[in-house]
Amino acid sequence: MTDQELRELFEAEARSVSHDARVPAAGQIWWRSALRARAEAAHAAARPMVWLQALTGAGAVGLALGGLTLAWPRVQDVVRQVVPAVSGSFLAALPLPLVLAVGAGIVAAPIAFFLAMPRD
Amino acid sequence: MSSWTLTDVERLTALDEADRTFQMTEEAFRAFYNLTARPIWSYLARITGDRRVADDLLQETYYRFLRSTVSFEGDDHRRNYLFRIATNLARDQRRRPRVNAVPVDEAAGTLSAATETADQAARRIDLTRAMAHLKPRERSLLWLAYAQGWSHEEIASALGLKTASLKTLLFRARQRLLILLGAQPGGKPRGEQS
Repeated sequence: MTDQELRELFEAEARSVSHDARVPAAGQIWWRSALRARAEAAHAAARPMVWLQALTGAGAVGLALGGLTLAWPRVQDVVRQVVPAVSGSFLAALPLPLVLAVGAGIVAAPIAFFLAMPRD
Repeated sequence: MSSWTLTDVERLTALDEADRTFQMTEEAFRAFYNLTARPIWSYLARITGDRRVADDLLQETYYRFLRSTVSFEGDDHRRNYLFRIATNLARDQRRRPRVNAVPVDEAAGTLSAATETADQAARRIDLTRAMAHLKPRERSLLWLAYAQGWSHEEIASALGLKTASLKTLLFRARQRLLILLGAQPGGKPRGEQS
């Protein structure tokens, strides 16, 4: 097969495929692209806000845990007064790291949920 | 993208902004699109072998083109860049799993049915089948060289290859195609005749 024959074969194929092509109108492509560009710009603009929210959330969790650590002896006293059935030895034996972990979970879970949910 | 919704006002604003965001005006884009859309779709359909993928990639190709910040030296440079985007997208597409492919019909073409002889139609079908057995880059090379009639420099620009290596790659692709077509690899490739 010569180069010329091959070229003619490809050109015939190109004509056929091109004839069958169902391309959208130019305006449609332009419109979709414009909307997508805007949505991506909005998304990019929102990204620093999400980071700021995450930072604020982390700060709040840190503060809460710090406060709880400082106030832990006082919390033990209050619990003893409110619930006399709870023995002092039980409260004293309750490990602070466990309390902190549970507290962090309680504070952080709603924040994480809020950040994870898509916002339209 | 799908999780974002826009109000009507935002839609209108988006169109206003488009002229500033994109590298060309809507009017210029329409003219460019009308010249290039069918060749690009045909190219995508042939190198991916899937009409639906070609439809998707067409939109994506033009979107990326519009968002590009390249300053073009002329219409040819603009067109080559568009084909380069399409080539890269098709390459990325191949890495993803394919779902419900809609193959490019071997015997498609009401035009061809009306104007071609049975022999010509049969040869086209043979070409389609042979192309399907080639590597994607070989398909791209052959399509741009023979269907689009591009020079080596244009193909190299569109595919991001060096002109020197392109000649060898094109020669090999042509030889492989001719073997698949059951033809004697005789004549010289386009661009090496003179």
